[in-house]
Amino acid sequence: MGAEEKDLRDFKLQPMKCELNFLSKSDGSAILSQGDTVALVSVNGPLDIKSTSQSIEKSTLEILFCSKGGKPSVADRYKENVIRQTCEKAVLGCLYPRTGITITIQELEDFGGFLSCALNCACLALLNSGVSLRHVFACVTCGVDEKGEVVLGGRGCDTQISCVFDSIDKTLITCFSEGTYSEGTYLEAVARCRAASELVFAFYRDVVSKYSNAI
Amino acid sequence: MRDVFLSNCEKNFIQKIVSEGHVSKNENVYFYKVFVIYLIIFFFNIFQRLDGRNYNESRRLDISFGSEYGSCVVSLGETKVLAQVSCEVTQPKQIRPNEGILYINVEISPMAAPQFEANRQTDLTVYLNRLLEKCYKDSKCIDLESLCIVVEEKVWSLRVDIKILNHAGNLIECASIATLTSLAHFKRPDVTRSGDSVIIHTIAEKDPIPTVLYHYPVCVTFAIFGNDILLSDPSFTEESVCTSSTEEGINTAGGLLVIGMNQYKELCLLDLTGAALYNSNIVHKAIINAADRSKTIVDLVKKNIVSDDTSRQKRVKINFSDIITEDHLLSLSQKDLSIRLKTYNVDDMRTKHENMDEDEDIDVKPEPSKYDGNEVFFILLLAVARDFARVDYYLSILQELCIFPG
Repeated sequence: MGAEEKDLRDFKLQPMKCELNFLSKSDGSAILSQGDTVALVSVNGPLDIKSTSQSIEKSTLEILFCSKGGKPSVADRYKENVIRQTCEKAVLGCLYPRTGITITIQELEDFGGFLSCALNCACLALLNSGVSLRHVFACVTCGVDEKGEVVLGGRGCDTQISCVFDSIDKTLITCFSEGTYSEGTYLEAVARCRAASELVFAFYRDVVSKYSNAI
Repeated sequence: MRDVFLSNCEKNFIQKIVSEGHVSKNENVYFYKVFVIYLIIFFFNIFQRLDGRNYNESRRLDISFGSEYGSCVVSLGETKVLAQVSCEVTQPKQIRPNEGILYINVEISPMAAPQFEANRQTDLTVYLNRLLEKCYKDSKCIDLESLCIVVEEKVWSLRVDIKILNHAGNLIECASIATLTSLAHFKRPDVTRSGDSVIIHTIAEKDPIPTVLYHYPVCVTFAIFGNDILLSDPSFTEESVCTSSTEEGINTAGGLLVIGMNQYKELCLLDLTGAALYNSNIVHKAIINAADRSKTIVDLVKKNIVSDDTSRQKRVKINFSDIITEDHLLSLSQKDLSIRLKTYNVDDMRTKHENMDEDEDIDVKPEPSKYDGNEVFFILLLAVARDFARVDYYLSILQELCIFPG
């Protein structure tokens, strides 16, 4: 299901490959590779959860991040937090009060930019599960090289800025970064990422159109 | 989410399917009757399980490797398990100062099935962990002494992390194959000692060393139904039916039999859950089956590791992104269906599907649905009805053949 690799290469995004319904027991699941980084996400829900974590007005999102080997760490909690905040904005939770939606992320390969891969994969899994969404979202990473120029993809750069956009107004929902950069660089990075996010949305459409007429 | 239990109706259905296709030895039948029945089984192959497999047939086994040494995804039908081996230098245990340490850690996240909760140990997790430890630690298949660096000070500790990705039955077999494959695939960094200091070389500096395995044990699972029927590689429903009690009056003797065996057909582990067995013959039968099965599994594992090694030497990039295919696009074109009919063919379905669409176009315009699965499901129902008719036909032939000569 590779996206039109030529387009992606022009924008210097890593080639993406995706498979939906990878797991038979989950309500929705997706496996996505961006370059060499691979993430697997499963979505279950809305399902009944214990009463202490129920909310009367919206469904509770439970995010679980599993690293490939070893014990869970603080860095994993940070990633869970970023994904939770992004998904809470996108999922139309008020339709499913007093329920829970579980999103489980499994790391398969990490060659940099795992969080952005996991976010895109989570979005595809949510689409696949049929949970109502306000909008879909796409995460694009760019790096800042030594000369202070913004490069899309940005593998191997010390400074990396990742932006998540919604599909309707292309507004910035989440942004996380590593390293130091100037204000001007940041604005340029956001603009570049916004332009590149179109490609990711086109990729989503490509993947989903294989089995469905409408999102 | 709480466990989803099988209904009595479902249980009886599965029980019936399994027991009807079986020629009981307790029945007083003439030799040629049995012969005729076996002949029919041979020609028509009608005694099958719900998913179209014979009693002694396993699902498709697939092994794919990740970019690191000792990481693999093993899929047995729809059951999927991720295994990763990691190593670190630690102090050895006091009672065994010259031996390395092997940890096996099984995790079942909500990814496997919705009823599992995050970060909570269930009975199943503990059971799996214990079985794998019995099979791999207690059978002494790994040369732990070769993991020693400095006696009483430094040894390698290997840690196998098993993550269940999808629980569709027979987790034990799948997890054990994953453990075996990842251990056999794993290579640890080379170490040189100069005086008191120990240098651990990176993979770029010196070729890593593979783990030494004396033998390759594998756990094979059988579901026992009605105390005399063995099903190899049980699916999720078959597993839950055979371990649960059914309505009164129906034979409740059933359970799961796990047999750990290596490629030399030596037993490493025997484990029975469920009701007690009436006779020991079934265990013998299971062991004979397990011997063949474990041999094929170990051969496949070895073959996969060798081919992975040669492609790594040719500097081919191996990555988990290779497991992304289009297999799961349409649920009906899956290789392993939970219900499969003998007469089923994907292409048949497709042509029918098209005809169906045309018919529907005349009557009503179909609404654009999220999943275009409704029509397909309808066809499946039709096919089920059609196939049942054929089963009746087969059964009538069978009865005629059995009764008239007798």
